[in-house]
Amino acid sequence: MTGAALGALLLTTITSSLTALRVDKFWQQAIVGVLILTAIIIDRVASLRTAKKLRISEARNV
Amino acid sequence: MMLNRKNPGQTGRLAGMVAVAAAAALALSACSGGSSSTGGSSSAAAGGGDKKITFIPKQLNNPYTDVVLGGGKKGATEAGFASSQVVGPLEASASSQVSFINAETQAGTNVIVIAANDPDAVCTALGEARTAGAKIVAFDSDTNPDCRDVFISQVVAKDVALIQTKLISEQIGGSGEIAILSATANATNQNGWIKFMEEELASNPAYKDIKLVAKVYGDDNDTKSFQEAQGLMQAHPNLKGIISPTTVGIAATARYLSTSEYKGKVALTGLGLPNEMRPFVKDGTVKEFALWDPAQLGYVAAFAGKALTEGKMTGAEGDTFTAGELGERKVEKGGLVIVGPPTVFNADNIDKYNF
Amino acid sequence: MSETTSTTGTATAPVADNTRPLSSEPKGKTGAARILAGRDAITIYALIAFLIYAAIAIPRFASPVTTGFLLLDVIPVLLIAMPMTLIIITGEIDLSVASIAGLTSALMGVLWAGGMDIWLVLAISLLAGLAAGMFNGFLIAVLGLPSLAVTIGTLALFRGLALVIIGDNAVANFPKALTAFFTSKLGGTGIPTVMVGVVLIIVFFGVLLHFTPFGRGLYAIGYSKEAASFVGIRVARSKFWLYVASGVVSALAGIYWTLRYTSARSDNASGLELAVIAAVLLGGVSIFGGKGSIPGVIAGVLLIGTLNYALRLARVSDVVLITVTGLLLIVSVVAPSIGSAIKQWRHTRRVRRSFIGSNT
Repeated sequence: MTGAALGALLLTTITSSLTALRVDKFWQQAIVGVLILTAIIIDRVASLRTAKKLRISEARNV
Repeated sequence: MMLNRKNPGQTGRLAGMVAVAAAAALALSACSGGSSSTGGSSSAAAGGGDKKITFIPKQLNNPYTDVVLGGGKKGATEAGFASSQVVGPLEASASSQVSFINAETQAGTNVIVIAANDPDAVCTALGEARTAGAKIVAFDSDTNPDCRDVFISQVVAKDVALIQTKLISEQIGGSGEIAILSATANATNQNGWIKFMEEELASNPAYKDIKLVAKVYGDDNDTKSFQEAQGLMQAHPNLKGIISPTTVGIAATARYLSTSEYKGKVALTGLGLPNEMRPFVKDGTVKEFALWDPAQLGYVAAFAGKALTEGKMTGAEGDTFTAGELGERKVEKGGLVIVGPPTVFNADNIDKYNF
Repeated sequence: MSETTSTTGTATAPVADNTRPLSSEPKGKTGAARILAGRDAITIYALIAFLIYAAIAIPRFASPVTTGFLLLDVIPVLLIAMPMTLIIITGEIDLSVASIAGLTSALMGVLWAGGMDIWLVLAISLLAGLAAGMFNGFLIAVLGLPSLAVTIGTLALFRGLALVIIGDNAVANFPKALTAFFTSKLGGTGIPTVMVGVVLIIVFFGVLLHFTPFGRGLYAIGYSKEAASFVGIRVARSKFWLYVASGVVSALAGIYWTLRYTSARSDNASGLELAVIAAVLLGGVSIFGGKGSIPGVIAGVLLIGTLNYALRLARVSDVVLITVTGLLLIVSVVAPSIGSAIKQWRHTRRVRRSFIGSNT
C-alpha cells in the first residue's frame, strides 16, 4: 500500500521534473514508459537475488 | 491476472469490492455529467417547417462549448428549425465524432453543424451525410474545406493571434521571455494562431526583445494545464509572460499563478471566458485578455444552415444570408463567414459580460 | 464449440469439496443443455434480445445502413479482442494494444509522408506491430515479469514513441483508392468489404483456440501454470506467441483506423484497450483465466457496439452509454462470483443438514 502510494508520487515527480529539465514534450511519455519497465526489471532482479541468497544460506544450514 | 484463483472466498470478496468501487465511480461521473448535459431536444416556437439541425461540438461539458451551443439553440429556434439536437463525444479525440455523424446521417438530419477535432478524420463521414442530403456547416474549428458548405469563423485567425501578442507585449513592457500554453498538440485553431504569433514575433520590430522560450500543451484538461503552468515556472525562472489561447488553459494557469509567488509578476493573457476569469482579473493576476462572443458563433451557424437547406445560398463566395438580430452576413473566399472582432476584457468592462 | 463449454463445466468443480458421496450434489449439465445455458450463450441471447428491441423501438435502426456503420465502428475492437481473448484465458493481460495501434498509425503517417510506396509502408507497419509484440512477449514469457505491470509500461512507451515519431502532426493524404476501399460496402448488403478479412482472422483465432492442442493448452495454463507445464505444455513459448499475435493484430487495427479515418496521428485509438477488455469480459471470458470462448466474445463486442450505436441513434447522451456499459460489465463479472457463492452456501447447508440427520 505504502509502496503503491510512493510509486504514484514518484511518477508525478518524474513527470514534473522532466518538464523542469526541459525534456522535449514528445519524449516525456516514452521516458515514463521506459522508467516503469526498468523499475519492474530491477524489482525482479532483486527478488531473484534474495531467493538465491536464501537458497545458499539454507544449503549451508543443512 | 495476478490474482490468486485458488481461494474462491477471497476472490469473490475482491470482485465485490471492485464492483462497488466501479459502481460508485460510474454513479459519480453520471451525476456530474448529467447536470450539464445538453442532449435534450427543443421544438421551435417560430415558423413551420420540418427541418432538423444537429450540433456536434468538439466535446460535451466544456464551458466554452456550452456557451456556443446556447447561442446555436437560440439561433435554431429563431431560424425556424423544427428541432435542434446536440450530440457529441465526451472526449475531444480525432475520430470520436465520426460515429455521431454516422448516426445523424441515418437519423435524417437536414443540417449538421460541426466543430471538427481533426479536419480530415471526419471527412468521409461528412461526405456520406452530404450524399444523404444533409448540409454541413463547420463552426469554431474548420474541417477540410472540401467536406463542408461553409465555415463560420469567430474572427480572422490572424487578428486573434495579433491581439494576443499585442496584449502580452504591453503587459511585459515589450521585452523578456514568454511561453505559450496551448490546448492539445493537434488542435487546428490553436496551431494556426500560434503560427501567426511566431511569425509576428519574428517579423515585427516592436517585438524584437520578446523571446518565445516554450510551447506546452495542457490538452484542454484543467489538471494537466495547471501542472504544465507549474512546470513552465520551474523550467523558466526568467519567464515574464504566458499566452494561453484556450479557455481551459488560461483559467488553470490563472488559478496556479494566483496562489503562487508569481502572482502579479508574471503576466498572463490569452483567450478566456469572462465568467471564469472574473476573480483573477479582480485580484490582479490577469490584466487583460480577449475573446469573441462565443454565443454568436452558434447563432450565426444556425442561420447559415437554414439558408443552405432552403437553397437561398450555396456557400459560394459573395453569397449573403440574414443572421437574425445580428443582421446580414457575407460568405467570403473559401466559404468563410466571419462573426465579429474579438473583445478585450479588463477590470473596467468585465462586469458587463455574462458568458 | 462444445470444447469450450466442456471446460467451462469443470470450471465450477473446484468449489466442491471431498463430500462427494452425497447423492444430492447436482451433476454437470450435458450436451445441448450445457451449450444453451453456458455463460457465453447468455451474452448471445442478450445481443439477440437487444437487436430485436432496437429494431422495433428505435426508428431507422433496422436498415443495411446500420450494419455498415456499426461494423465499421466495431472492427478495431473485434480484431484486437481475438488475441486478447486468448491472452486473458491464459490468465494474463495486454494493456498495450491501443498504444501499438497508435504507434503503427504514427509510423504509417511518417513513412507515407516521406514518400515511401504504400505497400512497403503497410508491410513495415505490420513488422513494427510484430516487434512490439515480441518485446512484450520477451519481457513477460522469457523474463517472467507480470503482464499487468509490463503492459502498463509498454502502454506508455509505445504511445510515447508514437508521439516521438510524428509529434503534433497529422498525415491525411493517403491514396484515395485505398481509403475508399476501407469504407466500401459489399453490394447492397451494407457489410463493409474489409469484414471479409476480419472474418478470416476471427476464424483463425476461433480454430486455434477451440480445435487445436495449442488452444486447449491455453485453458490449462489459465487454470494452473504448474500443472500445465507438468503435462508438457510449453507455457512460456505459448505466451510469447500470443503476445506476438496481439502485436500484429493491433498493428492491423492501427492500419485500419488510419485508413478508415484517413488520418495518421499519435493519439489514434487511445483508450481502445479498455473497450476491448470490457467486450471480452462481457463475452464471458474470466478475468482470472481458464474460461471463455470466441463466439461469446464476438457477441460481447457486438453487444457493446450495438448498444453504442442504437443509443446514439436515439440521441441518448454518452454519459448514459458509459453507465450502461459499466453496469453490464459489473454484472457480467460479479454474477458468476455471486452464483458460485450461493451454490457453495447451499451445498454446505445441505452437508450440515445431512450430518445432523445422520446423527439423530
